[in-house]
Amino acid sequence: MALDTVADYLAAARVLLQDTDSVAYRYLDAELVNALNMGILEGRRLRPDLFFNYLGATLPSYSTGSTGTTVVIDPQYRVAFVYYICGQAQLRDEENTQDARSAVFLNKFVAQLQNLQA
Amino acid sequence: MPSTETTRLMNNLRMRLPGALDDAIRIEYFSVMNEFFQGSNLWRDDVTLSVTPGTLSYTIAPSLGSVVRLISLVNAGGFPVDASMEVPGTIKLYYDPTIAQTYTATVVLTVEDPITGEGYPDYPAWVLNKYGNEILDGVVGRMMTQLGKPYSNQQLGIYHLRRFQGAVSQAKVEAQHKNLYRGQAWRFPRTFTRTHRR
Repeated sequence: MALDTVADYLAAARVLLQDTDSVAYRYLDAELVNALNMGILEGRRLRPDLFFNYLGATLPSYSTGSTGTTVVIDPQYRVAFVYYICGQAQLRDEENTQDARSAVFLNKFVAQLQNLQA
Repeated sequence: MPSTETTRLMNNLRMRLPGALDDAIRIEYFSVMNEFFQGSNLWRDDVTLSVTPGTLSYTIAPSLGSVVRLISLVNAGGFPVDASMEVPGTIKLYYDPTIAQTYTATVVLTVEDPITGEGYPDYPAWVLNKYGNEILDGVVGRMMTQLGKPYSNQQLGIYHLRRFQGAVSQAKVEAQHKNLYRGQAWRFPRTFTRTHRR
């Protein structure tokens, strides 16, 4: 999976979320796309150079109506945004295990953006 | 299409700076070249200007690059002419020329926008051939001293920037000697010194 389009990100995130049953998704597409958009906001804060062409301009935002749209993230950091989507999605769960898993994903997102070893 | 030398430089930078984006490298590359040229006076050009009696101010526009400072101004006979350049690119003569003639201004240049189509600064190719490793040090150093990046490394960054600063100084001397080996490597004996420490 090349992680080019919004649909690619959703599919990759659903694998990690164990939410691949398309008949009854646990997480809605809209929730995951919203998480991607929030990830872009966080990414802009942590790594402005990732959104070089959007410095001083409005950041890209995606919707469920255009999941075939290409997401403008450098290939080196696309996996990190999948982790952010997973972490953000699992924040809504109240079980202790999910909280820990959510924190792992979100921390991994930050670490991958800022550290080489992450 | 970037030159072979530029491609080699970029690939070297990509290897030395894991996680770095090309856009970020290009930005720092431009800054490094600007600092390199402004600090070394390496990139010089002779620009002609047609002077006429009654006019003291002249704007010069080199074909490539941006004017930084004026090195010299000579008249058609090759004799120096007194002038200043408070605003880079605008030469002001101290004295009104008596006849219309062509002056030649030797100016120091640096990189400027617009850059090439690939986003690289445009400057004479021989500079990258001769100072490729030094330019590499400058870009690596500036990239490594950025905060919160996978390639951030303050210690290594300072090391590379010191090497780059040394290269700027060396380039400045070589530019003064016009790349002539041992050019002006003489000096007066100490007995000719006019001041003495007591």
